[in-house]
Amino acid sequence: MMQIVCNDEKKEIRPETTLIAFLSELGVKPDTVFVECNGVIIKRDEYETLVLPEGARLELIRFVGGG
Amino acid sequence: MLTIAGRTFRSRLFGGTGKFSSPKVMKEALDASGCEMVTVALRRVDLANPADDIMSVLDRKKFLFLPNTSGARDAAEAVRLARLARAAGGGEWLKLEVTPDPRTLLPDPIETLKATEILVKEGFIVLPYMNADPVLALRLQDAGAAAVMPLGSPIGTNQGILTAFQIAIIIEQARVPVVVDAGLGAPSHAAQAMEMGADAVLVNTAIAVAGDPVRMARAFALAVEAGREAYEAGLGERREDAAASSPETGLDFLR
Repeated sequence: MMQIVCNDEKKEIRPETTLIAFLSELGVKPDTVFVECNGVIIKRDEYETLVLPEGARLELIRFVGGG
Repeated sequence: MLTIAGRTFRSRLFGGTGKFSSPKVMKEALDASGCEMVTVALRRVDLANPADDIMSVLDRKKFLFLPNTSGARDAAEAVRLARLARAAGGGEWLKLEVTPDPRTLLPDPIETLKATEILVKEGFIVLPYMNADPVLALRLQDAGAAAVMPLGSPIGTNQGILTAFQIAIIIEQARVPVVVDAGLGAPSHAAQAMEMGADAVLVNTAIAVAGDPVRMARAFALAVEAGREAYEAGLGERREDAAASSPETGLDFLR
């Protein structure tokens, strides 16, 4: 197992975990969020291929109600 | 019809999506409002409630999303939020909001202008939320803002148009559409803005927190339509002395 940080929470993942697999484990529908990995915005078509690196810092963001 | 950045809108009421009691009420209210553009905010996913996606109830074909940069305290934070919103499929449209002081939520004019300059160069359609300052409105327009959004009163206060004098000057001078945003607490406030010649109004809190948000949304839609109709009809002149509405002649038989 290795560690990453997602929205400031430490998470344990198996090596070679892709972004899409990680989102699915969290219970997040991939098309409702977008993701920054180490400060870089990840394009949607890369969710399936991006393998999360050790120590990655993820930000999961979505549209919410606002004025 | 209202045109902003080449896009036409039948409704001159823009809606917000915050503070509704449920996604269902929000959807019904926005449907009843007839609005075609709605603001949305960007926030971290709550990992304790990851499935909580309230925006999925809204049909993106029906409502143009206008992501805001709410929460940004300076130009740099606003630019970062704007880029994230675009990357998230929010499109080029942006309500630029830079509010360093949580108590007043008044917009920082200097940071707002800075961010407008940067984001216009990056291809965003920038609608800056601003204090009702006619000089700033011209500066933002010159920087490429697609519209200006002066406040009636601070966000969420429902106090109506406390800035009427300045808004009138902004409307008179602006070449871009003027959208009165923030503080409109009653349909009469929206009608007032439209009678003054505002191109549109943006309403969130007053609808979302109403006893019946769906009926209040309809009331705002009617008020916006009435105010616009009155503006186009041309209001009568204000005067100091009374002027009788009935003929002042033909009273000889009384005397």
